[in-house]
Amino acid sequence: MSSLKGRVWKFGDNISTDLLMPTASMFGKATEEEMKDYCMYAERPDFAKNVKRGDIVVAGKNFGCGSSRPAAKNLLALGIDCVMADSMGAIFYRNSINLGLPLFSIKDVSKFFEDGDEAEVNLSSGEVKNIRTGQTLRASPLPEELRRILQAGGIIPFLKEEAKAGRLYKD
Amino acid sequence: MAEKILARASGRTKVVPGEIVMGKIDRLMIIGEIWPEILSLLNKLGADRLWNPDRVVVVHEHMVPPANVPIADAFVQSRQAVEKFGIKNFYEMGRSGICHQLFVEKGFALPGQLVVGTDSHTTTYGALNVASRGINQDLPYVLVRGELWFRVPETIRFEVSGKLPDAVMSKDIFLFIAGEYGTDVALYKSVEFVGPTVAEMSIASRLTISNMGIEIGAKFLIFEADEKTQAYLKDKAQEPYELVKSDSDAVFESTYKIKVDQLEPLVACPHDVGNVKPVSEVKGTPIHQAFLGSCTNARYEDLEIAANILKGKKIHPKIRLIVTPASQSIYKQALQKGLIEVFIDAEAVVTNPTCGACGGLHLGILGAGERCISSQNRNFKARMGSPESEVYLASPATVAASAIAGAIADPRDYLQ
Repeated sequence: MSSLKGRVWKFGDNISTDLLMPTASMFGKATEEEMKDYCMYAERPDFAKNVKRGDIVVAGKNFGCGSSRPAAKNLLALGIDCVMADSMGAIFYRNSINLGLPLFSIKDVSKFFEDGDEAEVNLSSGEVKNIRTGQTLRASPLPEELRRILQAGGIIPFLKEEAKAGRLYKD
Repeated sequence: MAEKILARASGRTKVVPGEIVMGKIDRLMIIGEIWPEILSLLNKLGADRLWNPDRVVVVHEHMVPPANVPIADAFVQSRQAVEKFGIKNFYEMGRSGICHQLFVEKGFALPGQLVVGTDSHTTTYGALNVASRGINQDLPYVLVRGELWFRVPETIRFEVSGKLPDAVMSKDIFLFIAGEYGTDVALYKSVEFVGPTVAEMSIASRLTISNMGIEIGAKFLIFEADEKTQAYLKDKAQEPYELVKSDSDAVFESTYKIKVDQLEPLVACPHDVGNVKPVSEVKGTPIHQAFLGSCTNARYEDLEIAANILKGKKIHPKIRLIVTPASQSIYKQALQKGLIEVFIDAEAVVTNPTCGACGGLHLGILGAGERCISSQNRNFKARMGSPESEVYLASPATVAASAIAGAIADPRDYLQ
């Protein structure tokens, strides 16, 4: 996996999936295409409007807490390439890996970036750089099992490869 | 307990925190609304069968009866999937309830088992000694392979002692924890709830706590099984089961001791479950809606304490109360015991079992500037509707008292 560079959108603590993917846009209330426009609208309406492909989200603790809805879909649809937070909700974490969105839980990463900074992230080594300050820090690399899913592009491409190899089912 | 269950499910004698293991899934709960997405993914994979349809439970409940065409269409596809894959454990609206209550009532939540479900409140089954958690995008993987990777979690323990004062409920214990220790105290961890207070608690009260496990980040929230657990499962259990108990020399990352004798009714203020205050501090805050429902607090004992407070009274003329029993069987029991009549006489709206108002789906969505007190589990911004609305979380007793007052009220002033 390669190196990423992008503008940092910084959010606070306890950003829930109710904010990232509001039910106001779910259950048939908005089209698949429109859903991403609701991402964070209750907290930061300029985000979905102004975010650009290749941008990076940095957040405080417990990012993606709450409901099991696949909030990473909205972040991917908006072009977010990577999420880094002090800590993350466990279901959000699994969903993101399964959808092919790289993410790192890094202690105090929220103190390392200001909103609007430019970040450089090496997905293989876990090295994270703040271009403005020139400082770097290192995330612990993802476990091998999860890296395999992420490298395939998510759980469906991963299972597709398995199906091709005749290993879709266990029996 | 989590380590023992994951060891058994992964065919090992012992596992340690931090390891990643493949666990065999004993039971999978699916909400019907998710099928359109899953069917198309399974098609892409060329998957024409499930690993074991008898281990799958499908429930129609999140938004029932359907409030719009896309949801009606989703249920059409869900019924087709049930037929196509031969899923026998299918619960249609009218024969069902909120998924977690139904799953427990029908005896699918069994001690020592490993369960996943497509809703974050799947931690609920832990009240019955189950290791259970919510998933979403892992679903296709589980459907074809019947297993899933788990990082073995560290375990933390809450030891609860003391007698709960009148009108103080298990919900208040949980809110105390979220307020005192933070909503990330159990992030990635398994939580155990033990102690004399827990032993005294009904299964319904325990279900409230395990249901809210996810609100402190818990991967699992597990209670030990006791006589009450076994009595509850006596005529329900779908198959034989084996109880799991932590060893006397088990290692816990942290242990928190909580005394509840002096506990006050508590309220979680907007927009965070951890923003908890004693009811005395927020008493008098005007409300527009009170909601008694959700998988957290709409079981019989919850409706009963609310009815005891509301009996012979009317709710405040400027507000509305919405009551959503957690399942058809609870609804029927409440009807037979006269609780529903109390609610209707008090001028409440009584709805069918559904996730409706709690998830901001239907049957109780809030408009801009509205404030609601609710017995549910979450008060995040925009949770129940407009981003300009506010949700306060409290016990069923506090919700009922507030409905009468038209403002947040102390249930101890309203006990009859």
